[in-house]
Amino acid sequence: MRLNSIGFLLREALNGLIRHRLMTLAAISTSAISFTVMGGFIAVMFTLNAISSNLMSQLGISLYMKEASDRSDTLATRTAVSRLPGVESAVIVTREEAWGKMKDDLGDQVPLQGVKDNPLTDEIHIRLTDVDHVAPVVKATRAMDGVADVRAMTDVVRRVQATVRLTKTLGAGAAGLLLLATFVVIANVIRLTVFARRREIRIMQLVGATNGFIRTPFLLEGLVYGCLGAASAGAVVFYGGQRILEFSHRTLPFMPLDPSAVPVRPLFVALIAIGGVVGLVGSSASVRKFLHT
Amino acid sequence: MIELQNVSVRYPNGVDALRGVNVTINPGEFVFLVGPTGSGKSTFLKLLYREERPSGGAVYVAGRNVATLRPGQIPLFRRHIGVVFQDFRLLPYKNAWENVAFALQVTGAPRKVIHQRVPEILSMVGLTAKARCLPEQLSGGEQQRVCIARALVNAPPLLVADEPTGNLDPATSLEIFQLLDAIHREGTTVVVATHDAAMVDRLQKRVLTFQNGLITRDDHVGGYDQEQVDLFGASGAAAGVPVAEAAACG
Repeated sequence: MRLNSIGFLLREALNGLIRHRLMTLAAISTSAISFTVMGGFIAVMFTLNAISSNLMSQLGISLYMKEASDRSDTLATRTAVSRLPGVESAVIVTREEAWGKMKDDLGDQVPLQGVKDNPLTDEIHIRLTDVDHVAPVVKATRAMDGVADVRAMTDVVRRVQATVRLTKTLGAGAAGLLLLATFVVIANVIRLTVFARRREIRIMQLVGATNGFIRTPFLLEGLVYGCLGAASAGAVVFYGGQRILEFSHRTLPFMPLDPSAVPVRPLFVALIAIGGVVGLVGSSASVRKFLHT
Repeated sequence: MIELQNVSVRYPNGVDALRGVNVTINPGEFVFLVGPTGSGKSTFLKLLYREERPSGGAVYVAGRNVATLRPGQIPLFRRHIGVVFQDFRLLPYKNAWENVAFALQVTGAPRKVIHQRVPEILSMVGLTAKARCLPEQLSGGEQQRVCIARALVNAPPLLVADEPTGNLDPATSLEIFQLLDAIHREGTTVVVATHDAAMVDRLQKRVLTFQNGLITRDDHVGGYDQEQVDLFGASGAAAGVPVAEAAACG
């Protein structure tokens, strides 16, 4: 394609968008609605994932040292634990602190006056970055010298883990289906816009326009339909959704709703890119039907 | 310029549009194609600008076998043939100037060339004052002149017209045929399919008569019938471009 054709084709695409403004509006709004559903689903998936991870990490792992071990053993164990992959923090709760806390917590409810010696051992409370690390960390710490017992809410962890995995799989499948549905809807709307202009395409062919020349304005228009639809959907779902999460976080602080759970900017950019690709592919497929010479 | 060797065209519905047609049209000729509807005239023209492919035989246009053109070569080939349609086929949202310029823009012609060539050709067809009019603001005859201007703007050696006056009244038809004749006198090969018996009789050009997909008559100075009416000879109008300039739109 010659350079002096590029400006002409850009003008043709812009004129096409303006001239067929009802079709343009229909295509962009259809695209926006489809991407809102898809984007909303993705945002909900991220939020649910963050909530489950948050709950899981709060469960933590408790590691109890043997009675025979001393403080230096506890410190060495904590150092070893801290080096394990997936460990966010490892905090020592000394047997003295634990005993004091127990006495405070139980107060007069349980008579502890008769217990002279502290029966507790040092404890290391471990928090993980991700729920996936629970099993390997439990296994690794149980094998360490001086460790008497390691407790994680294994059953709960397993169930939540299974639920998270199932949700992720179903979510990925549903997102894929939604993407396909979005593509079909947008491609069909673009096909309608192209169909309305099939006579125009025929005239272009008869005066000697190449298929590339005819296709380019339609591709640019498809790109605009996809990108603008996705951008408006992204603005509503991700930025609007984030405001809602922030508001919920402020008013319901006990709810594990983290506004930073949804990576707004990357998702916004990704949605626009997906919109652009869907628009390009949709218009390319639609125009091809009318380009047989 | 044009050579058809034993050309046949059979449509998917089994209709034989052309059956073993052999004909040669030399450069600079003006040829009328006449015959009843469905006799094969339009199919003959469509073969020339490769809208149809022959089922058998060979079609040579300017030395190229049209049937063997690859899809990517067809647009470039069509730039050497001007095509005029009965229904004009103008882009409705472009004005007369833009419709004509479009045929140059698709070739990637520089702006300077477009701005020089389009006014020239619009002047030739008598539409300078209507350059900014949309097709819907033009009469049928004016729209056909825009179509002719668009067909001519790339200076093609061959102009093909499929019933160019089919939608026009007799006076406007006369204007269009005068214009086609003037174009022919400039050296362009012109092939016109028409039902306009009066014009064929008056212009006294070569006439190919089609019937049932066959050329049944090839008369080198002929008409629909044998009467010869020298329309231009009496008025002297055929010597130049005889089209009156139209008034501006609106």
